[in-house]
Amino acid sequence: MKILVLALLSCLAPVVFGAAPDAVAWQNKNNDAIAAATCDEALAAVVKDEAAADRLLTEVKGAYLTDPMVATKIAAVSQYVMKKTCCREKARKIWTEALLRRAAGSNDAYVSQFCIDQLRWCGYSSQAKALRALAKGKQKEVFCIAEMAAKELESK
Amino acid sequence: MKSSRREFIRGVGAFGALNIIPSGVLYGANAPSNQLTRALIGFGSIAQSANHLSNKYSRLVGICDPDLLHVKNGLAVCERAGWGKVKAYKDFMELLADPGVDVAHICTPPHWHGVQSVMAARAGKDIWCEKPMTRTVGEGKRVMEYVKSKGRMFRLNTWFRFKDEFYGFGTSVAPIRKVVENGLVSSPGKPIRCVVGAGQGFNWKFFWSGLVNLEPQKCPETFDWDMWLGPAPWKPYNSHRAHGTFRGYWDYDAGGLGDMAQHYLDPVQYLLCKDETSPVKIDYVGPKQHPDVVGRFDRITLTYADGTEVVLDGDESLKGEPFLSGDKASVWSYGSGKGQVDSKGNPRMFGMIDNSTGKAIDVRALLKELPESASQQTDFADSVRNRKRFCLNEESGFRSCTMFNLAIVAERLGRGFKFDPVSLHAVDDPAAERFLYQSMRQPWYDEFMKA
Repeated sequence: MKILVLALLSCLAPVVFGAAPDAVAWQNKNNDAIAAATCDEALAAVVKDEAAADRLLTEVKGAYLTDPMVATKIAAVSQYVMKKTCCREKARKIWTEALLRRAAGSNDAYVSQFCIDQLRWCGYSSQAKALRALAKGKQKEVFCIAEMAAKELESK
Repeated sequence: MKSSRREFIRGVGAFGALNIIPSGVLYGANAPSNQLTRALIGFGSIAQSANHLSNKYSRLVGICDPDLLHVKNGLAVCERAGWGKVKAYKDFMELLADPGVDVAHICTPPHWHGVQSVMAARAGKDIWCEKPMTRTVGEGKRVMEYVKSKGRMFRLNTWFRFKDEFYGFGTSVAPIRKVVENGLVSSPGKPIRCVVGAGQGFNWKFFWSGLVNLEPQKCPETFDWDMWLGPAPWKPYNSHRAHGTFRGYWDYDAGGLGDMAQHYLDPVQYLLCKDETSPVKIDYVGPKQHPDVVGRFDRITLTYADGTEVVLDGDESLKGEPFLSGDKASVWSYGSGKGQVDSKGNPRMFGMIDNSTGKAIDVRALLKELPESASQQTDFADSVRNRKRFCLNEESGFRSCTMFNLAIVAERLGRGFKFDPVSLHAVDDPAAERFLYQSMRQPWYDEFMKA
């Protein structure tokens, strides 16, 4: 009975919270598109040069408005550049520097946070200093995540 | 701290005007001076469950919650439940500083469990913590080591390893463990495959998913969002991220896997006799995940060094498989539809099929021949009073939580990886390692890590 009530509440969530689907419904509807967007070839194209990386990151919008396909692709790139099989160091350098640029260049705290959050999974320990520098003068929320990320990177 | 409070109360009682008879004699075990006391950290829906609100093993003395509406409602709920007027603490730090509290019940979302367990142990409290024990392997390792070093008693709020019918079965796990540990499913040294999915009676509750396009909302003035977030990264407030639906966001939990994994996998770990180790290989099949919002998985396989597999069946492709299969026999639950009634027409506990004959085994007759498994410490009040480790403690709980934590790392990586169950680190996999060991927002990271 409890499971039925919880399942009903979950179905009602889009009605209560607006038209946003939940991630499972979105994945089920877009299964093939997600696979295509996050296959190795698609991800390699993002990190082939600075311009391609910057182009994807300009699609990060403020406050939860980033298209979920874009967000999922960005998360997949962060994992792709950590793989041993691709031209890792060049791709990783391009990607992490693009994340730093986007985080530093945005006045929107959410955009900066989003990019810094990705750096937690793929950044270099040498980028901890740059993270702390970009956080100075930014909003408190950015400062906190930058500090968190810097600490994690320093321990790598 | 605990003994000085009891001694103080006894002392006051002894010098009371006409109270020459100790209250422990007058009132027996339920005398206030003999009763353990507990306070609830977090008063959402889980705090109101039987294990936390109505449990009579100790006296409920106080609550706290960053949502003042929860506190206001909670005080009324506690009074209706027969606890009288309990104290409303300003925050959990004030609760932990109260020498009148013996046990801290941690009923907050998982992103708080590690920090609050460590801070409770530091404050000299024994701990009853909601599941999952922690959000990451790194947090679990710290809690396990710290709680043990402080000599605190710790238990998790799941119980299927020692009581109640296990999902999909007409029995507790005890008889299933007996057939496993007596080598009746697999020969010694041969692996067992365990499937945990809908076909076997388990529900992975994919409805615990977050929303992919939220909007920032104005946070109610009665709700301290910054405190609720605690060690998690700051993100704009939206009511779906908190309270009853927080499970859908990676920052706080892991969807249906977060809700149910430790309920399912702790008894699995126990019946497979794997309390002292962890999987060495984790495989993942499923979609790539959104970085913020928890989606679904299709299949996650956790493999131990001896080849034993625990397969989390998300897409129900393994619906027709038994719960356990080995080289000698298979074990089936009600959910699988096999072995519904035993040979004497009794409602069966579980089905068991002999591989060599293909015939059902008389489970009840078989169990009568088998020795009992080692007994378990299942009385937490006794644990606290007599300092006897509870059966689901910080070590066994860490190991079953690690099964869950490894599964979600594979889900977030979108691939499998290898793990060392001794060092508790990923094997040659820096990307996996970053998810296993994460930092926290300050000041909570410092509180978590200090001596």
